Amino acid sequence: MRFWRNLLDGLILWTAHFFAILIIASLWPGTLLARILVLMATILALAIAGWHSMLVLRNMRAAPDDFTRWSGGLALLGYALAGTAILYQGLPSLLA
Amino acid sequence: MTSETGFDPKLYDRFPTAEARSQSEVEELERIWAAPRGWRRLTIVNNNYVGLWYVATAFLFFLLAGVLALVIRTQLALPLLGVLPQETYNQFFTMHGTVMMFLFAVPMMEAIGVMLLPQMLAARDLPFPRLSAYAFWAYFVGGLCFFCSIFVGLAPNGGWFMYPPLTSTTYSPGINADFWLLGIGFIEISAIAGAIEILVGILKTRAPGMTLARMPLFAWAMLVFAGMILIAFPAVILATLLLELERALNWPFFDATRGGDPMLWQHLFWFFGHPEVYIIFLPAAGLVSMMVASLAKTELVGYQLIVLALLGTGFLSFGVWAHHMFATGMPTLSVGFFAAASMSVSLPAGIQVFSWIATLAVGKPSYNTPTLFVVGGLVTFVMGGLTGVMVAMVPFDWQAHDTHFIVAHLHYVLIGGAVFPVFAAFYYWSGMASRRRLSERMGRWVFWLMFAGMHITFLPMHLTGLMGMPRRVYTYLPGKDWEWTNLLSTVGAFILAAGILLFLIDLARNFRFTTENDVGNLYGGGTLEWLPTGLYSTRSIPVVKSRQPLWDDPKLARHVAEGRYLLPYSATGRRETLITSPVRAEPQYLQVMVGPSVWPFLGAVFTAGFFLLLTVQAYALSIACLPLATLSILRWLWDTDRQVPQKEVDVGAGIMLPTYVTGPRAHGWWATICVLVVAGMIFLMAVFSYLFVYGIHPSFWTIPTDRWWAFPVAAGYAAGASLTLYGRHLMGREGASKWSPTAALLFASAFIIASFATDWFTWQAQGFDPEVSAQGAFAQAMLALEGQMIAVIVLMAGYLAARTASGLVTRPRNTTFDVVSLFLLYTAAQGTATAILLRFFPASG
Repeated sequence: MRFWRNLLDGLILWTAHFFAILIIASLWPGTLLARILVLMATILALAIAGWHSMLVLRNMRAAPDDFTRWSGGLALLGYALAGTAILYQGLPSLLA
Repeated sequence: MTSETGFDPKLYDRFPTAEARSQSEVEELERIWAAPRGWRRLTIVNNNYVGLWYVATAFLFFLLAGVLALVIRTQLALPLLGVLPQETYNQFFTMHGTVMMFLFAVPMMEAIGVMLLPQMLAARDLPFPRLSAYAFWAYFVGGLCFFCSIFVGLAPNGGWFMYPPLTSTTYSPGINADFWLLGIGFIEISAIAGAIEILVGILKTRAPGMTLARMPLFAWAMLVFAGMILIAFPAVILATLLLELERALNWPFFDATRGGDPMLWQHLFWFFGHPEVYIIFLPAAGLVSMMVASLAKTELVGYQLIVLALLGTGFLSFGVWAHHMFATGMPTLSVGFFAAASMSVSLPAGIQVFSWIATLAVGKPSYNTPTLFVVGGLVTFVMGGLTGVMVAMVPFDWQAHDTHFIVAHLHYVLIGGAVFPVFAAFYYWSGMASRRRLSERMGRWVFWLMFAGMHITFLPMHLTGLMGMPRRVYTYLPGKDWEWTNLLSTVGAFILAAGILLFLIDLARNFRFTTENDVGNLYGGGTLEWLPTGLYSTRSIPVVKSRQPLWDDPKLARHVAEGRYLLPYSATGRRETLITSPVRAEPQYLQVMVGPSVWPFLGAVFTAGFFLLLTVQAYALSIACLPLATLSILRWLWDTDRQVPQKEVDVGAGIMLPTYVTGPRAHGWWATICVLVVAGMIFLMAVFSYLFVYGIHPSFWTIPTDRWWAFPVAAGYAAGASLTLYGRHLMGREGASKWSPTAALLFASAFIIASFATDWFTWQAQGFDPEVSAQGAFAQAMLALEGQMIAVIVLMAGYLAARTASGLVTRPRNTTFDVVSLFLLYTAAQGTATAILLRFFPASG
């Protein structure tokens, strides 16, 4: 299970961020508070993504075999995709 | 090299073995895996047969829904035509969408999975062959009966998404909507059964050495596909259940005048409905990724990126459901999130498209039929994707919503993203199942007719939509400038149909099904499905060292056929396959499999009978089918989970593996977890529905009075869970008697049943009438959901007791015991959550 968690951490982070901001926007619709909270959640999620990416990168350098390096690379790409989507989803809080 | 299970990877160096093997081993494999003949063909469970029947049935539904589309297009060819009366037109477009989505697209992907995956993974079969047979027969019988409703004017007529209040009894008083609700709910069960089979098969039956980094991309796509089905389909199962309850019992889940909300249906439906599009697209993308490398005669560019794209799409597609609801007046900020997610999901789709283009660019693609379909599909899908980005922009969507622009967009995506790749796959893989190859010359005609027909139909339809023609209208007035574009679309539809007709002629002339003397690898594929096979799959199971093993080791096919790899014989004299670990595919144990049986067929027929007879209100017959279906399924299960005399066997080159394991290593454990994920998702969606409706209409809700009953109920469930854990503890103890672990589980069941009864009766005493308010209706529905789990527990307890009495519950480990334990623990957790939710939300008035 740990392998799968490591592999999918980035995308799980995207899921958590998406549903968190959706709940925030539903609980306080049309308010400044909602926008501020969404912005904070986005910054937090991006910080987690950045921090975890660094950890994955460090583990990849010490990987014992090709497969571990490959799965680490996939996890890293997952963070990149999730980070892009999280950043994009945070924008409506600045624009709405 | 690191090991996942403790298996020493150096053992792989023993293969290929040097010594020659006896021909009698092949004859024994042929005898063991032989398929029954005559009427006993109904009992076949081999993936070659079930897979082909599945593909053929899905294709039949494609043709039937296509005929409906032709009639629809004929009706719309000119203004004020009277080919179809209005009511019949409503039934035709509803059935066209429903059949294409539920009876063609998803089942076709599962069918191709059942047919190709065992060979692609070099497994003897998928791990639950009887489940595959059950899923197929349920789909076949249920699907055909469902379709026949159109011949008697009882077909659903509320659109493929069946929005209430249009589908409530007020506006749809007949049983047409019930056909959809019960029929589709039932067919979803078949889809979930297939998904579990595929998911466990991919994770547990890969050839040794086929790590996730070497897994064929179709298997990756099917893994994500199956996972998405487990998460998405429960939403529509719950939605259909709630709407049917509303129609049958007048419980107002979607009735705003009594505290329900019709928007709830849209949320539940589209939480399933949009991922559904990717559920259809991803397997097709997996097929394209496999084909494009062979057709371009080069390694696929960006394997790792495509895996990322598959996983990314699997996740991101669950964040886009409300883009179907931009016109419903949701809060602006929420709409912004869904628009952003809808655009984000084009990133992984784009990654795949660029990888395929790059592969075609660096390789040397041949001008043949599968290449044409792959490239044609790519072009069409990209065009559909671009209009998808357009409608992800909210202001544009408001203009285009519910017009023919959307019809054009979705057909571009689905035909380009799924239909053309499936036709490419027909040509590419037909060599695996036919004695003769399909005609290349006719194939090109098929492609060009289909490609031209598709674009002539749907390109002008964008304009029709932008000029304002709404969807789902059975005719239109002259003078609106819609005549020419509509006429063109109709001409295109018939050209498309001509292409499909030509394909049928090609099939009739050239396709000759075989399991042994196939024409083989026509396009030079490098993956394992092109190894020589019989009904037992490959003679021996190879060790995989790369992504294209046949390209990298030209001797592999010969060595496999000579039995120089794993399991070149039947080690136990029964059907069996190698079970490997989920990540690095290291051998773990030998699964002894069950063979042909009539029980999956009967189980499917009676299950279909139960649902369909319920639809036509033949209640006595319907209720009679339920115990028959249950008994058939229990009888089929009775043959499973048996130990063989050999505790360990040599699977080749002196590698010894056990023949029976339990817990997380066992394939049965994984399947049970999948079932519980489905149950958990249904419950989660019910909780969401409860809170959503409360959030929209709090004024209809009142605070329950006797809240404290939640505590004794929860304590009862906790006692049941504790006894279950104690039973598992007893199972491993040598001193415990034969009956004591089972007795612990039976007592646990009794506690759980008693807790549920307490919850039920104390709630009824509160006086919430389910017909009066949504609160009462939801509470009753959530208790009914728990009641369903309790019914399963009762069956399981009886089944476990019967197996214990028959000496089939082996010590110190037993899969049946594990499965019952997991169900008991889950039911206790869900029951506790239900009791707390009903009594503590709303918390204040």
